[in-house]
Amino acid sequence: MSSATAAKSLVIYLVCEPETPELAEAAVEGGADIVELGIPFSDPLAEGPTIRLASERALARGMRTKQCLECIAAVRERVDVPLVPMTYAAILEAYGYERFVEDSRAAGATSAIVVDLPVEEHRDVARIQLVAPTSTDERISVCAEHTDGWLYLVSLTGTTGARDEVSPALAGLVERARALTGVPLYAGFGISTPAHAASVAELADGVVVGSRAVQVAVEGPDALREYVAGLRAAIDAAVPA
Amino acid sequence: MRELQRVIGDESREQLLAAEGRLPEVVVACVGGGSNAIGIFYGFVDDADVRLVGVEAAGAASLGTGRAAVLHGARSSVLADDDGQIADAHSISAGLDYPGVGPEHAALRDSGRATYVPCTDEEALDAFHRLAKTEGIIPALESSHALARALDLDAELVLVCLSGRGDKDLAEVLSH
Ligand SMILES: Cc1ncc(COP(=O)(O)O)c(C=O)c1O
Repeated sequence: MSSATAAKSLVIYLVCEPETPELAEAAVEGGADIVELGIPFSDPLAEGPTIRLASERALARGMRTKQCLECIAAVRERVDVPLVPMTYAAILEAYGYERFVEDSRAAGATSAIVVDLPVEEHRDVARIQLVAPTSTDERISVCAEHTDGWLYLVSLTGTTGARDEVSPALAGLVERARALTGVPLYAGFGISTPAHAASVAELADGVVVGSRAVQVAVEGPDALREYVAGLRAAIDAAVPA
Repeated sequence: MRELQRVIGDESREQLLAAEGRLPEVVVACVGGGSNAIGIFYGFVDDADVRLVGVEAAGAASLGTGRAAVLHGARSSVLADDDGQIADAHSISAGLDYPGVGPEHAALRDSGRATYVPCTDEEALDAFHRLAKTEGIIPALESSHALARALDLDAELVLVCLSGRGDKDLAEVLSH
């Protein structure tokens, strides 16, 4: 696989809220190739303060599973890019795993990310697997074998949230994963500035930006479009397609 | 974790056999996340005649009133709503104020090997005072829940896990 010449994907994460359809459209206009849509959970163990707060706010506004699926359907009416629901196992446990797959597909979603559902569980739920710098080679291989489309590299040992620097652990993780699998590798967690996005694009096949996008989204669609366009430009300048 | 905590069960079994020459009729322990209880239960889980009783705070009864959900990486019995969102737990004792529980307790409940009962804040406070007055031992508020239910039992030889000391809880107790 020639990661150096293929166009790099930009993935933007937003929490499902009433404004999200408009925001997701702005993110796509800015250059997002994929939008992750977070279905908020009360105890989101992978999230740092920004997404925790956004999740609490969304839940307080009534964004339960059903409303989030409606939100995904409303986003689907506005954009053509893949929409990936991202959530936690408790949500599927309560909703029904099979029912979730059916209803999210019907709403226009592609695949899913279920942060705390180990690769061994519920293989019927096609999903993007996550690996971290602490994952063993054996674990990375199993996750790559069962992942749906691309493998999510958690670039650091910690929760989501904007950081000052790209994690120094990412390069080693990419190198190990490349030796083990041919699936595309997208990196996320702690990536927030155009400079971060550019340096991650030089390593991985895709860049996932969550917390900072969630912060900027509060300022509205224009601000988000501009922010995403800045990430896009930096990625494309660093690694021309 | 269970293998670490089971030293409580293994040693208390050995000591009780040495002191009394027999096994207890009932083993009682408080259940927050479930570690002290699983530890003491494991000394006796193969002794079919020994009843195992876990005591939860009434406002944090993950096993008594919870449902199957996933919290902190484990699928267990959890205080959660219809959407799987985790509910708040309430207990006078910080150590029991937790909406989840170690999954092995859910399995022991479902198999019937152990039973789990609730205890209110007031009942725990009464048991705290009673042990302090009658034995000069200040139990942790968590452990006081186990004591409260042990006092109800119609049994001669009951083993209660005093999982901690109550010095840490004096401010809380004296405020009531
Ligand atoms: C003294 C004491 N007992 C019991 C518990 C409850 O925890 P567990 O159910 O895991 O033993 C705690 C928790 O902090 C505690 O401090």
